[in-house]
Amino acid sequence: MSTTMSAESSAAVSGAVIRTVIQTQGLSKRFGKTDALTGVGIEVPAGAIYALVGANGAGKTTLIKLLMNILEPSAGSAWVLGIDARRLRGKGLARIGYVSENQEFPEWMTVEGMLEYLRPFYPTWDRALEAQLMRQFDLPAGRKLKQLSRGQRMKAAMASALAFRPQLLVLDEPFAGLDPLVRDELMEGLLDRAPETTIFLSSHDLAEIESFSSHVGFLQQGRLLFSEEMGVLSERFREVTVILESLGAGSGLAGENLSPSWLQYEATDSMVRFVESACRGAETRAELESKFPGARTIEMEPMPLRAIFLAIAKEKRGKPTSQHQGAVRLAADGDSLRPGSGAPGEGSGI
Amino acid sequence: MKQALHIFAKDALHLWPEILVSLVITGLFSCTYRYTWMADLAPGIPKLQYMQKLAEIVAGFVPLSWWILITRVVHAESLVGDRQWWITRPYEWSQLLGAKLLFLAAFVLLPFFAAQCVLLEEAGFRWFEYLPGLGLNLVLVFGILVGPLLALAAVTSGFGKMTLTLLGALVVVILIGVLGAWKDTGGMASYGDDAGGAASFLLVLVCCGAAIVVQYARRMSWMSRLLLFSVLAPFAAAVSLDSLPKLIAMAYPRTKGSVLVVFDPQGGHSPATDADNGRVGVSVPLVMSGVVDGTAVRVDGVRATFESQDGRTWTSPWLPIYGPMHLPESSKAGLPLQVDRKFFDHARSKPVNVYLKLAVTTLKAGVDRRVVLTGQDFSVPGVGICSWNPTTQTMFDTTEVTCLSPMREPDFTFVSVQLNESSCTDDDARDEVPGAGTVGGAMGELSPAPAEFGITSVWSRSVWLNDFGTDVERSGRILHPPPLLCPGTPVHFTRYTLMNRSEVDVTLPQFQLPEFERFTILRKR
Repeated sequence: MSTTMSAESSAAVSGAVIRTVIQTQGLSKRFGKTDALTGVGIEVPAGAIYALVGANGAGKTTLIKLLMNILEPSAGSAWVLGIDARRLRGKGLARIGYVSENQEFPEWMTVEGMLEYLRPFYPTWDRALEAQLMRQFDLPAGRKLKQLSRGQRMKAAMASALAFRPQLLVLDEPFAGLDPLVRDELMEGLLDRAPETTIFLSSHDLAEIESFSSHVGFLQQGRLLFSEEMGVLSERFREVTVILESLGAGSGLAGENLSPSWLQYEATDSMVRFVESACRGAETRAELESKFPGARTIEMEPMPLRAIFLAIAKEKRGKPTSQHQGAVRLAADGDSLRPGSGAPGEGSGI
Repeated sequence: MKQALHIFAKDALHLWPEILVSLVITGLFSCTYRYTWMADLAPGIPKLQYMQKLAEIVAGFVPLSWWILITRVVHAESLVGDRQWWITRPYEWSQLLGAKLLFLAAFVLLPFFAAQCVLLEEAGFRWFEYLPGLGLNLVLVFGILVGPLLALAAVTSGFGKMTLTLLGALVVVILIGVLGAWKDTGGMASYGDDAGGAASFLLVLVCCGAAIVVQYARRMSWMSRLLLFSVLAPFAAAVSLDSLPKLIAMAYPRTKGSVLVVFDPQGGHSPATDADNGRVGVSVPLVMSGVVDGTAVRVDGVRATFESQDGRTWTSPWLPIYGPMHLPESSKAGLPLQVDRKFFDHARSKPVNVYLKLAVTTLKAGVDRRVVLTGQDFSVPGVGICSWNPTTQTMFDTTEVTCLSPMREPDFTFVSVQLNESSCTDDDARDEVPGAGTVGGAMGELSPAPAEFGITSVWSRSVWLNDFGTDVERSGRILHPPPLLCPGTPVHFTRYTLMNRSEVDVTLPQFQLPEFERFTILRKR
């Protein structure tokens, strides 16, 4: 890749407009004999709110630490704001805000002291915005960080990461363990800044990110299953229920008759149910009608993010329902479906 | 620089209690350390002895307070781990390192410098006359103490881990020392090692510096730890490979035309005594000839091979000799050797052949300064401010001249005097008697450096000028009061410089090992 650094990333270095804020290729990290991350390739366009989701231990934090040059990759490359992540330090970090659930803060500092200390590090620090964030998050200026609750601490961290109007905000599980009120406050503060900032956040709470993310990537056991725009993803997945006219009309569907894009295929004598991962609207409906000529009804329901992930996760773990014989091709290393790349349903990914 | 100052200000504000404690300890050190030499100058005063102990304890706390301060300031931006908040902030590593160095300069080195100046003034020296020495001592203190502590703190993540690592490093150093002692390589290590000392210092400086820079620039903790602890490898290798004989051979090359050393059959036969490591101490009387005028010879060490009648041999390690200087006119001395107890018991009944290798330093006499003692302090160039306390010889039978030297050991100086026979009269002027015996002793180092590593800027050194002579009977009992040093007696301070070092081989054929006897000194007044 640097091979492979894109033109727009290169442009970023010279101060031109950045179109791809984060780009990784074949990014891998090994801890001893354990592969924490394997061949991850993502692209995050400028202005996106990219949610990296996955279960605990999926590799989200590792990926973020690689992007932030906290860890060194074992293989592959990552570019952040046009800078090779391995060289991301010093001034390069003045455009990036980072908040993590498990950061170690200077506990002895007061909230005000911390912000005051950080101010000179950032040429773009906005004191008016700092004051606004203090009010918005209702932060106790004179209290030491060690005396703050977890929620207050996260708000203080968020304020310190937003006050310099970063071009990129990287958040590692920012809402984990917070009560709903604090979570809403944080999210509100975050969304206020969204128009001027690209946000890359990790979470294992799907419902939480569904409401505001523009892009989503799904990590499982260190591998990226897909990475694409939320709208495209929602359009692509449908929960299909086929009610059969006569008993047994669909139960014999097997082998080459099963589409590779069908997940969690279940069939009874009177009903077939599966998740279509490459839905193309009317075209898909027509295909289904031809495959199930004896169908009384064919329902294609949109799926919530959570249901989509569960379907993919179960498929990946090799726990398909009993009758499903279909082969499903998951995103291979580095060739996951990127936002805007490839047409859904062309078999380019789940 | 702006960022470095900003970080420095934060650290200073945050760590003010630690800074305060360190400053108080350094202040106490500068106030109390003078008692260490005051007690040397006036022994026997309980209050001074108590204050001397206190001063030594306070001096011990100075590096301890540095250890805490250095650990705390480095760990304020810990370099180990991946959760520290600052690592995703726009810190420039060079600025961060600069801030830490600035902190150490301001709160460790500067107070230490001030304390050194105070000590110099208290001892009677003008501190601004010793700026090169003060500067060099700061460099040495940084390289030997502060730098390694900084490097250790940089590769550890917390105070506990830092302490454990420090203890671990100390254990390794002790193990190397024990291994050295076991192999008997330590005793002679201090001779002929000016280049070795400089190389060791550079090695420590380079390894610590590399570890610090790599850690600050890249936060590669394992690489930095490897670099840091690689400093111990050459020392361990030197000990384990038994390289001291080779080093001594390099420092003391075998050359022709140096002094001649032979067995002195009239030198008397001292009894053998207990020695360390299951050995027996044996003294061999030798005559040294060929010491030309204007020079002196010092035997620094000896290695002896004993060969019994039945062909059995035993070779001692290199052992240091703290014997007298051999001047042209005084060439006899007993050379202390050590022999394995089993070999001693086996070979004692019949004469043995002894093959000696002597590490000999030849010194060239320089300026000779004659000072008439008055009981007042007096200054000797190249040595410092000296004094003689007449009360010590009446109270303790010891006649000594004590000198305070700025920044380092004094220049290598031989102090000699003609002692009075029994009592001092009121005569102020005492002439030297040509041909009469003199007693003397050496002080100082041959190193020309303007400073030596030390927590103090004032070095106190004494020369004992006692001559028990023949008044010591075989049991060690002193039969008569020793000769005295009286006011008005001229004392000579002769400066010596290094001419060369060489190895001298001596063979003692058919040497009869002496009888074994426990030897203790009993004093009789």
